[in-house]
Amino acid sequence: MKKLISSVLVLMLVLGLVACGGNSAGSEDSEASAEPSAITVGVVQTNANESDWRTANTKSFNEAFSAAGYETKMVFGEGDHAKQISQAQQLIQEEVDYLVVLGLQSAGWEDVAKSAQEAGIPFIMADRKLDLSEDLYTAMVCSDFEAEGKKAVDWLKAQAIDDCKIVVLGGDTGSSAQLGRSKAIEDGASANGWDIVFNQNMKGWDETLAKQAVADLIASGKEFNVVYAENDNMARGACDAMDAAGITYGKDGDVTVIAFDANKWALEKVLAGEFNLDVECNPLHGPRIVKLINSLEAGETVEKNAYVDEEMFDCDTITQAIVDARTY
Amino acid sequence: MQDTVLTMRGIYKSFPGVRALQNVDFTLCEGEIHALMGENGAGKSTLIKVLTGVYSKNAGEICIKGINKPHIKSPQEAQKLGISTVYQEITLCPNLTVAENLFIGRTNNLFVNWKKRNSRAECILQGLGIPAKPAQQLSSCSIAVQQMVAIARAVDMDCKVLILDEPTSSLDDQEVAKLFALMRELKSRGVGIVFVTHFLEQVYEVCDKITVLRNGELVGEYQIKDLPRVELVAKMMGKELGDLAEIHNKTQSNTNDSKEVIIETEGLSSTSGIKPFDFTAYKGEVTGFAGLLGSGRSECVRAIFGADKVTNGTLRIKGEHVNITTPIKAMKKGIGYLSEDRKRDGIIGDLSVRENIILALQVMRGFFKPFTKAQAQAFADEYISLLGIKTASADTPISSLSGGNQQKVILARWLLTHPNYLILDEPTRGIDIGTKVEIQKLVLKLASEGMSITFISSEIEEMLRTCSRLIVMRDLYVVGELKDEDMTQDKIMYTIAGGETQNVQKQ
Amino acid sequence: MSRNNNNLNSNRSALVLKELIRHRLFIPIAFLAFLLLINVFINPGFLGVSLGRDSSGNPVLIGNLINILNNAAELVILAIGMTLVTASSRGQDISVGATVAIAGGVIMRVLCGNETQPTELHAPIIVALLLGCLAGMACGAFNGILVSKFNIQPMVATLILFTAGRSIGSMAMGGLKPKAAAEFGYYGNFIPGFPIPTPILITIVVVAVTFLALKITNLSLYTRAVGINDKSSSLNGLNPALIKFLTFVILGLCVGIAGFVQASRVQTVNPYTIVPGIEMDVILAVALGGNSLSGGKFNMTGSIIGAYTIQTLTSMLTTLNVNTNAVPVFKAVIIIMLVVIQSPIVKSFLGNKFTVLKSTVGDGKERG
Repeated sequence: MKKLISSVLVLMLVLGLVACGGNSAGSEDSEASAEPSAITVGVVQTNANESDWRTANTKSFNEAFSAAGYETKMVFGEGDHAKQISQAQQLIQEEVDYLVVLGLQSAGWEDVAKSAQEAGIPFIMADRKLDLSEDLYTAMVCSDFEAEGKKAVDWLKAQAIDDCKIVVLGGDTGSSAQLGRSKAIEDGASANGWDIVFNQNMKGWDETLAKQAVADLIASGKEFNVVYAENDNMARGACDAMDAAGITYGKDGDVTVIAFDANKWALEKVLAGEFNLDVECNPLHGPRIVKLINSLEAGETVEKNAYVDEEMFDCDTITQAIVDARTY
Repeated sequence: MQDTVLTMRGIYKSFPGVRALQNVDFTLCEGEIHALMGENGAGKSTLIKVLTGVYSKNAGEICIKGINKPHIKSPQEAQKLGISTVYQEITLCPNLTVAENLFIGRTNNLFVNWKKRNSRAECILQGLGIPAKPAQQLSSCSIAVQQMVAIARAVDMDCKVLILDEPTSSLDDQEVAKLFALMRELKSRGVGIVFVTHFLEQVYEVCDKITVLRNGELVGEYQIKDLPRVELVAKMMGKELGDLAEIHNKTQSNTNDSKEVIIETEGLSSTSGIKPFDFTAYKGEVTGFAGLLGSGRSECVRAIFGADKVTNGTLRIKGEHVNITTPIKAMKKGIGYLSEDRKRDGIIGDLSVRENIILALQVMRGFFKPFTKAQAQAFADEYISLLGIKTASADTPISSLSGGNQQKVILARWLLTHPNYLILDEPTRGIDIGTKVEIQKLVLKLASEGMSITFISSEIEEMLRTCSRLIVMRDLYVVGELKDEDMTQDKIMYTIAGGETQNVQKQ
Repeated sequence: MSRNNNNLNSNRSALVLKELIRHRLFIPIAFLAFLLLINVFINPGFLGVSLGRDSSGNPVLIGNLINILNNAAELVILAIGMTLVTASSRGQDISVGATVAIAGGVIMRVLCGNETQPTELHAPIIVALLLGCLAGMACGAFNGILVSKFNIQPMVATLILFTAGRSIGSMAMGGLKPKAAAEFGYYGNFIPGFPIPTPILITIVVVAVTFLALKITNLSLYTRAVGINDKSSSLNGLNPALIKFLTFVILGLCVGIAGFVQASRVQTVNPYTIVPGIEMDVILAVALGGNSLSGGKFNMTGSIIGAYTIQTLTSMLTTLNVNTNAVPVFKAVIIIMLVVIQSPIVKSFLGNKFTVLKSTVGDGKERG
């Protein structure tokens, strides 16, 4: 009995913690009521401190929204898909004016989208495309991950490397970024007759796991000349492993390294010739969404499926100025 | 002559290195309570386990009324054939209700009408005179009632043979009386009951026949009236009863005045609820706490040892005032405590005999000073041979020893700490007569060497034999102190029944 | 208990075989050997170790075996602490992954301060290590108090840090994602000029210290006694609450060391993704080592072998390039096999299969 009581207490405590997490977003409520005319935008973000990219992404929302005079309610899923869904439902209950969702997983958002629709709240997907039929969401401002992957594939094709042997380091299984980028390279490989010698996803886009996987491949004598890492960190992990084994890579090396996201530090590596290519994944969604909301407010029709502009950076063409211009 | 319900003929069973049963016969009639007697290691448990399908026999045959040579491969099959067993330890589910326990696992239906079940349970309980409600949670019943529920479950499954394996070990006299009433009721219904116990009185109170085993062999089957108690003991031990008579505390006529005081309490009480008590133990003396179960015997010594939190009063050891808050402090002051419930508070089941022996001394020595394996082994060997502990090796887990040998290991543990004052709380419960006698002798020997000992037992004769002074308790009060010629069974009974409390005397 | 000596002598070899099979470590070792053998079968060079040079020209050992020993460091270190916690508290700490994030976060903050790309370390590495261990031990103490003083089941108690730990780790880092100067990397990779990966050396030290501690203290006896029967233990002068608390703090120390090694591997920590899912691997390592997860007796060597087994499996799935979606299934199937083989039923069956004689070692069952 004693045990039961204590277990219940702890559970309550844990729930309390979770509830506190939710409240921190709601604490801005009081300001909203002072300015009833302000537009409230609910943002379901993935993780607070996932990466530099994510930090820039979050900052972009906050800055653009406050400049536009919106009230922002941002919540973080912290790696928990189910938590994100309940957070989204909570925001709908709080009757935000717009709901912006950056899903950890692309599946399972139908109910949230339907609730938003019933409540008359426009549902906007950002960053990652979710598996929703067109009638369930209002608009999307996403990175087209498959297009990003295709850019890399086209670039690789242009390099005309003999006998491509590719190591694919995938991101979190099931995330839209992983699905899109993996599909592009898989399709590209079969179209161009490239050989994918390794293709596994690393839990949490983790640098260490990528490093250990590449080290294992080297040790078991697997030959490869291209590393296709689906984010900057895993590319860095792969380079670490190659360093340790004395394998050369990058601009003048034996192995071509392709990375994604294009953080500032990664661009420095491109500039230094350590990465051959980094495909941008633009985190600056804030201004685009402000534009979108303004159009919706004005009653204009909007482009339903908009993709953010994304570039790629080649070690042969990158300049110091490009690196310096990068803020994240 | 009644019909026989169970016949076992020429049963052999051997374990690696040991012949556990050799050519054992056993016959049980309908409506008979049949005692199965023997010392630990005589083969009682093995015989029962062969009968209930836990072990497979090497040779011999079993006949159950109506079924010849049944194949009993598991307790479930035995149960289907009408053989049910109720063990000393309750094997029901304490977190379920009485009714659920009665019926659980006995139906193939997915859906159960619990209302109907409860009323049916009510009938069974009333029919057998068991004081429990069907919807009551089992754990809220006393051990005795739980045992009765287990019996009721067995009876309700149409059992022809009911095996009661030491059911009375943890019951007090009243509860035993209730259990016996239930057994007689079942007897009148024609159930054959096999009763395994260590208590001779109980055998003579309730049984019709006795089968005695010794060292895995059949000694004989006797009508109860043909076998006086003394002869039974002699047959079980394979010798005459002289040993028992020999033991008597020679020191009892000595006066305590000249002796050194070891332990002295004044108004000691603890969170367990005992009322403040005064107690003095002298060097080389065996004292005893007598009283019914729950009278506070154990609680007094637990307070001295620091096992319960002391709330009031003072404790002096050799005249020095000490403040004992934890057992380790008591141990360092030279107190040893062999606890009442061996399984729960004594043994550390999966640890080896060696580790169990050295544990207390090791803890006293300290965390950073472990004994080397050789030292530990030397201690273990010394006490294994000193106390005659029967174990395959010092590495054997203590849980696989028989009860008596487990108790000897715990005794060794405390002797190894060389205490000035040793408390033995029910050291002879649930162990065979031979070991009992050995322990009693040991107690007297230790006292003669100068150790002060407190000996607590539910068996008054045992206390009379070993103790030179008895503290008598009732309802958490000390109600009297008996010594010398006052130490008789009658006097104790009288004191328990009507003695005045220590506190009242003082006021 | 007497034995039939004639039989025993004439069949000694069979007995030795049976004793071997009955030995607690037989199955864990056999299984590890089996996995390695499969690997050798698939890739004959699997066990080979070659001396190569890294990109800076320093000598390094390269080989699958080296990788397994290297990458299992965190798992082994955590399994040591988890074994003690399991034995004393009869439950598991599921917060080790999250607390590694906390320890790692503290280490990164100490080394990098508020910079993201510091060119030199802000504090001596030993200070970072000590503070990381302290952070781990503080987490262990928190869990330990909940378990020992408040009697909360370990899994429930450690659920708190399991839930909150990674966020706390992120807070410890001040929300930054710094990468420490390269010299911090020596501890998770190679010390220049020395060809054996440092995590292997750290593991050896930790294992040696553990066995030394088990030898020169009563940690083993006390932990087992408390895990088997805390009532008896307290009547023998032990303080069960203190001992349970102590094992949690020891696990906390292991967490600190594991966090240090892990952070050093890539000189950075992402609290949200560091050692993903390691808590289950650690618990599994303890179980694969033949330990009962319900506490009591423990077998430290078994847990360590269990940790290497899991790492071998992980490495094997990588080198075989098993389809990502099939990896968990593959792992589960192999683990189920191992757990089933270790179950008492199969064990006694195997034991009997190899028994050719009637008279064998007694197992000392109670008879009365």
